[in-house]
Amino acid sequence: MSVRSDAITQLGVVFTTPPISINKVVVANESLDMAVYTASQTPLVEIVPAEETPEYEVGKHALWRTSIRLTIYYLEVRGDEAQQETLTTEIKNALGGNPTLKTVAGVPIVEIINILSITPAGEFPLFQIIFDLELEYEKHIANA
Amino acid sequence: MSVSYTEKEPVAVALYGKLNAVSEFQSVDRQYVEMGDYDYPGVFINDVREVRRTVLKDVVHVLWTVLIVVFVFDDSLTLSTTLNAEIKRAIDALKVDVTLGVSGVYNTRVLDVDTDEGFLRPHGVAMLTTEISYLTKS
Repeated sequence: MSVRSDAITQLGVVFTTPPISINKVVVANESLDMAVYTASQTPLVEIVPAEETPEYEVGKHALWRTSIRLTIYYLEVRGDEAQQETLTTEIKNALGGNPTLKTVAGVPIVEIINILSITPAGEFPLFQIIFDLELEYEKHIANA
Repeated sequence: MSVSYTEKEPVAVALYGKLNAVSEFQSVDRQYVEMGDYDYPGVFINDVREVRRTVLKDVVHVLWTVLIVVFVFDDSLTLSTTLNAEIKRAIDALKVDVTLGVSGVYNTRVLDVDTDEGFLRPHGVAMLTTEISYLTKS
């Protein structure tokens, strides 16, 4: 397992651990076909791994930066921003409370998670909150 | 605020109820019948089309278009004034509550108003193209 796949797995754990109100986590390579998911599965988080960049330090040792996009899908009626605020706060708190993605065993997976941007999107009745994340970790290239 | 759902028939019943509650309308019907059978001014509601967008597996956003036909009779020179008053009355009746009092209806709006352009004098007819937005599970 690479650090990136460990991190994605752990993100799924973080987002399904109470008190967060996410009902389903999906890892995908592209935009989801939402017609296969039901209302009871929302709020749903889609995790899309993106660019991975090694910044070489010494020999084959590198500081890796991995981009991940989280898209939270949720149903909401017009003019009600309560859910958007609640979900944004929950995700921020979940990441802020575990910025190294440490596992139950207490082993940190990454050095730090940075939230680069948070963007609301979507249209009635299915809205989205898009989190662009950057994960940093140091690792020998063979084990990254 | 949670998301609510409905179906077409309760929406149709509510729309009929809103227009039927306008005391000035002497006859309201959900289908066209020969005008001679009605008192003026009157309204009938034509089902035009549904545009359905699947949002989730069990959530469909429906934009239902109906044609609200308002008809008046005025053999004086104030036919257009009479017709305009009834058009306004119909629009105002819908604007009072755009949910039509149905949980699951999110908007009701009149998109277009067409008339018979005076050709049917002493009758006057207006057609209000109206779009109702609701969510359904079916």
